[in-house]
Amino acid sequence: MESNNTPIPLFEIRDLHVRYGDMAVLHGINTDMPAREVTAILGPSGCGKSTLLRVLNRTLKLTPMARVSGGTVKYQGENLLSHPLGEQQIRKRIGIVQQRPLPFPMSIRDNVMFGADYHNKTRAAEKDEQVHTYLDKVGLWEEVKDRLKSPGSMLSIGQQQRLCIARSLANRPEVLLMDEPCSALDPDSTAKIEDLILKLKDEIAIVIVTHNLAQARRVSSNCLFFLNGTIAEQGKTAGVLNNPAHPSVQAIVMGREG
Amino acid sequence: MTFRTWNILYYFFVWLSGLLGIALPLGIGFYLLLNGGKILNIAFLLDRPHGSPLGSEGGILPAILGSFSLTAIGLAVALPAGIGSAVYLSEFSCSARLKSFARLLIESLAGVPSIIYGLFGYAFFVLLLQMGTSLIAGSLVMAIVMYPIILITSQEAFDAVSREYREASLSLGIDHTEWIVRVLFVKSFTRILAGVVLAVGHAMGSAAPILFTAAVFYSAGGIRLSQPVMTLPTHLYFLVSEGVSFENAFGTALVLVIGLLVFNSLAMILRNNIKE
Repeated sequence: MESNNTPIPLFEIRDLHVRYGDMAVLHGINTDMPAREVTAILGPSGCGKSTLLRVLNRTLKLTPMARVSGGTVKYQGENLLSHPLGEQQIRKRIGIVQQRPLPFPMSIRDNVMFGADYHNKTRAAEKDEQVHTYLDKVGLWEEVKDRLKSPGSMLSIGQQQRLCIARSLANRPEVLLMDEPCSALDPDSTAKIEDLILKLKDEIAIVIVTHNLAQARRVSSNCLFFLNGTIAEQGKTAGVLNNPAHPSVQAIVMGREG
Repeated sequence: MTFRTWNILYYFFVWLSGLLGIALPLGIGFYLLLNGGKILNIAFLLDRPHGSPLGSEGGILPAILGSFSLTAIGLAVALPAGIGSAVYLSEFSCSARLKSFARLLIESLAGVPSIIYGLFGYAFFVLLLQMGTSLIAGSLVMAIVMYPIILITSQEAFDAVSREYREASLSLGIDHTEWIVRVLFVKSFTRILAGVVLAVGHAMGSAAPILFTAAVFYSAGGIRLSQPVMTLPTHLYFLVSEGVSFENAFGTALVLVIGLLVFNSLAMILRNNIKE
């Protein structure tokens, strides 16, 4: 509807259920994720946060036995799970950065352009420019500009994670999902990635799964708190983290648990 | 006996086993070199068999060419087939049941005695398909010998690449071909190469699969798909079983072993270069 004044939410999730075989992982997720904001997904391990990201990026079916067993997800008003653009286009538009950095077995340069090259064949000069742009964006250019042809696996873990973010960004996604992107990293690399998120949030929507309450406070404005496969608390990050209503969330936020 | 005595016995046993592992290949190598080395020269490598009985003089060039072509053509068939089947099983087959059933069949295939392959090849390629005793019939049997080995090692190589790589690749919106060719194959290359080396070593050294399907006692050295060929293992077999010349048999064995060593070394060099 063009006459609508309130902007269409990025994702509208209604009563979403996901199962791994006989085990229900998500039961009845309901939320709207606003566009042009950073949404943080918090909660203890194994409560379905990564599963939700996989649903949004349409990579859930790569996990054996996993399936959406009910509910709907809309992306910019269209049904995500049977989107007319098809699975590959959705995965390009809704990029994901995994928890463990996994550079592909190729040079730093080819790693950056891996997805982008597939989606748009570019000329060599243009490619060099893009490699520069995206490595610069993640703050890696100065560190690697003299060894673009050496393998991506030669970098430190923190650099590898930024390389993987550059790889996702080069795909020009509309949304970037991040699955605990800093959990394997040292504080210095973590700070670099948080800065990056704050820089990127004006260009694209970001959904970040994190264990780190302080990190959620620093980077996000919208927040979902997961407990056992459902959303226990949601709203503005400050509100959720400062005075949660749900007793278990309260216990975790106040540092009594988790 | 006290714990200490056991311990000493155990050490002794482990050392002995370790020594055996080193001594056996070295010993066989030396023995071959000692007995076959004196006959090995350029003429032996580049001449065809002569003398009476035939093979007591001259060289083994036709057998070298024959073994090489059988293995090369066999590999040209088995490599794409083996890797293709492995890709299917590890990437496309959805049913875990089908996968383990196929795996059981293939493992059985790899365990079939090679003389059975020879018999099958004779009945199927030579007689039924009327290929005759020929290079092509023998190569196809060689391919059947190599196929399960390549398939099993490739599938294990693919399964060893963690599922996270698959997810990381496909989550960029690329298609399966791109993921398989640019990431999966590259990540599993060295393991597949090891499988190929194993398969080639196994195939090139065995006489049974080609005894009825491709090998003849003597050929002038022409290599044609429709013609039979001499091969190193069958030549060795004929030389010894007919009592033609022990010396030449050792020479032939030495050439076969050196050939395999050269192939293994080339594969290792290739692997090390790729890694960098």
